[in-house]
Amino acid sequence: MRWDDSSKLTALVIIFIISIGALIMLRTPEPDLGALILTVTMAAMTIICARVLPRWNLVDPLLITLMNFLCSLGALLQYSISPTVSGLMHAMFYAAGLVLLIAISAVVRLKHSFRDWRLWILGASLFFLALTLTSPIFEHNDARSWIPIPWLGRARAFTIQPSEFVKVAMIALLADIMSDQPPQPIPPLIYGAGIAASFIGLLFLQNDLGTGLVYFLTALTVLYCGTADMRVLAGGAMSFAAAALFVYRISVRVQNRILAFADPFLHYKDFGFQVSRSLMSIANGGATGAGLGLGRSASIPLYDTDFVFATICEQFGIVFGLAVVCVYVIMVMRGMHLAVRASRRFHALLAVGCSTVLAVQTFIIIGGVINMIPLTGVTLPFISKGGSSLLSSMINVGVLCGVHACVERDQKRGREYDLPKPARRGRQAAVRGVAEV
Amino acid sequence: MKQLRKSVRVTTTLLALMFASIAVYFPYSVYFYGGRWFSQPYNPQIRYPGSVARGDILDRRNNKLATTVGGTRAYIADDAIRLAIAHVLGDEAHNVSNGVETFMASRLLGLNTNLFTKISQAFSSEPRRGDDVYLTIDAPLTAYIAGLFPAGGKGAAVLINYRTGEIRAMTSLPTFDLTKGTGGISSDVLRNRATDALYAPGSAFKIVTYAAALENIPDAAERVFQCTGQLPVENATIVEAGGAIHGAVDLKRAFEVSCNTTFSALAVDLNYNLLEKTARSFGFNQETLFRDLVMKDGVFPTTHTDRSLDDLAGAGIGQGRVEATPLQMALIACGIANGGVVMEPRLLWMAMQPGEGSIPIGSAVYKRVTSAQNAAIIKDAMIGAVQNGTASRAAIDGYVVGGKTGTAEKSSDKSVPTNAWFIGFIDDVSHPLAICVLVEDGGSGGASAAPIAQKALAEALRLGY
Repeated sequence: MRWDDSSKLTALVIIFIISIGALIMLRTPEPDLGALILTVTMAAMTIICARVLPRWNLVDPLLITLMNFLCSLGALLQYSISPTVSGLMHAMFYAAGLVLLIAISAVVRLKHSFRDWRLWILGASLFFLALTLTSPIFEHNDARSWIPIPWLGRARAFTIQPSEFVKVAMIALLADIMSDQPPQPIPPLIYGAGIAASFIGLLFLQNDLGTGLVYFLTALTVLYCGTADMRVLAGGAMSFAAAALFVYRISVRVQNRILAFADPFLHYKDFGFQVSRSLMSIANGGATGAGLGLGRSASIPLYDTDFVFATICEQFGIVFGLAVVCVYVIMVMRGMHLAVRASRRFHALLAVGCSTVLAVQTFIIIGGVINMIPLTGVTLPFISKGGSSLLSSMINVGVLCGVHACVERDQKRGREYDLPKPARRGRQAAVRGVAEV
Repeated sequence: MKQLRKSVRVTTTLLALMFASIAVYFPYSVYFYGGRWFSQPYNPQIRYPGSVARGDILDRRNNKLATTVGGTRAYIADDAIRLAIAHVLGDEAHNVSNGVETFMASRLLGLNTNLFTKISQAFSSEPRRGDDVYLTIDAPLTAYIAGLFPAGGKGAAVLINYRTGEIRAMTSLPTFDLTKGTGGISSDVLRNRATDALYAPGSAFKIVTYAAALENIPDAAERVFQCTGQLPVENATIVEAGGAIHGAVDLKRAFEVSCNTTFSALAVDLNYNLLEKTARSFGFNQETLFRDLVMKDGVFPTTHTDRSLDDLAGAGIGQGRVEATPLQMALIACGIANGGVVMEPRLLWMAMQPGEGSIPIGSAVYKRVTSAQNAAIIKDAMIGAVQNGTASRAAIDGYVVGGKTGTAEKSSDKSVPTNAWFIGFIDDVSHPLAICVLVEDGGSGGASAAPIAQKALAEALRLGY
């Protein structure tokens, strides 16, 4: 076993998990067995993911370790909020997510194109997005985007949010379409933009504007990288401005969000409540935080999903909050780096899409919670309560791991079609050293 | 592939910038606004602090204004003092916005400690107690000033040391009794008029117009103006108070006699942009972030569609849509007296942590409002206004006093009573005091506000400030 950077990182994450887990365990007079099991499981998973799985080239050790850090933080935080309902659920979905992650990684490594699956993926995506529109039983938190699965639920019906999974499907579709060889009956840009527009339109009808925004920015990025044409970015910016104006005109909710953004405390009694409370929680935590399980963020509606970042800042402090942001940034940069190293267009675009989803979603919700941008409700990947979101984010990492595997394999075979400049190689080699265990 | 990689790098840069904006904005906003977020009256941390005994609030002279006895808050027994400082203190239910009880809650609840103290507190079995807070206020002086106002009158007064920014007295009328709670009291009474209410400053704003003229018109100090008693603008006509006609006056003399037509004409000459620029440097339309208190920001009309010359002529003499709080007007007097530099107004003298000793709080410059040269010219004119002008009733024997009166119309209807203003200072290095007195519906500033200011300054001098 080599004691390199990656294992140092793993060790740090394990120290973090154990210390937080120990704090939760010793909170009560009787040692909390659930917390013990959770801690040991998460720590063991982290070791397995970082030490064992990379041997078969199944995962990217850096990505998976950082992901494990965020997932463990999420699981332990959710456990400290509510052990059975959120904590163990989070752990269960994490376990299921790991299986999916490895499966998706294998699929990406084996398939070089989704061409023959394209219509199936498209059809299923449209079907599930449209399905939730048909009946009010799919409505939850103002958005009609949840499919209840009654036989799994106990107190509240267990629900799945299809848009979380269609998100990854859309990236796969767009990456696939944009890597078609030029002579095509429909130009790839038109084809891709059409698919993205239909998805976003359905999300708009579901009244899930936050997810719509994530879709839009992701699709725009993949289309831009696929065409390498600045005009795509410019067109995207213009259509965004037009759509934003249109939505602002017709939606009172969006207008209220803008008002709440301008001065949350002025609208404390109604629509500024969440953001006001969130800012108070952040201020209550200060630089070093109130302490695990302490603080008053539970008074923020959705404090364990959309506003979980405010909870983190209150309990662990702003410095730690910024460190969490840094972890997301490293994951995103790693994903983009994979895109640069990829030898196939399809893989590069997949990596671009998956990194962008992660970046955009994190930015939108953290920016909203700290009132830097108007609030748009999406989940914080890996940490927010909610199975669909966690699974989707892990599948996303699974795709990146698959691309990583392809990149490694292609490099071993010497299949670098387009060698980077020599000056850059030194740096790449250094980063590879981190990655390989 | 090469192009693809290039666009991937562009995207990466964009995403990195996105996150960099969080990394910059988040610490910045917490640093500058965190205190304000925390001291929101709705903050559960303040509202339900748990088992912490709030620290005491004391004044400059060690009078215990508020203390915790057996878990409940007790206030100073002297009725006059308790009523005069009610707004500054604020209440436990946080119905008064930004009183000391609310805005300094993190100190009073002892949350302003470092990590090590926090940890040792967590393991200690002693009941927690917040910090004692010593205010710069002199409570008996404040009570004296509040007593100078006409019985049942409304208004506000602020007395500041212009060299350090320490607020020596701040009172708002009508007031309420803290011992009886703030439950059913109207928000108009609970409002601290000194920091939280915007009024047209009237002629007291001529200081700003004066500064704008000195900054932008080269021969302003020498120019002679003809006052015929009225100045037709577009649809409105500016007239002199009491129908006076001042004849040929230079700028200093026009200021001393508070000539409306001269200053309106100057405002029209200067135009919106130049006058607004100076108004901004005097703190209008600027967001203030003081450490110890919250002041509503003064307003100078800018981006509205209505930028008529009538409005501009009115703005030049502090009418129309120009608005400021008494504290901001006091700061303007501070700036003129202090060579153009306004110190940050302070309310907190020091905080005393139990078992840790005192934490003194230093002074800081808030901003430069005008050049030292122009400040000296305006200071001279303000002294002239007291010696030989509208503010003559503010004069104190043996001291050089400068001042400016204001008589602000609340409506174009002449039968509606006017608000009376006085802002001024004592020009003395060892007694650096500036004052603002506002008497709502007080009539003329020279007749009702200036005498209050005179007595208040005389009392402060007697106390040795």
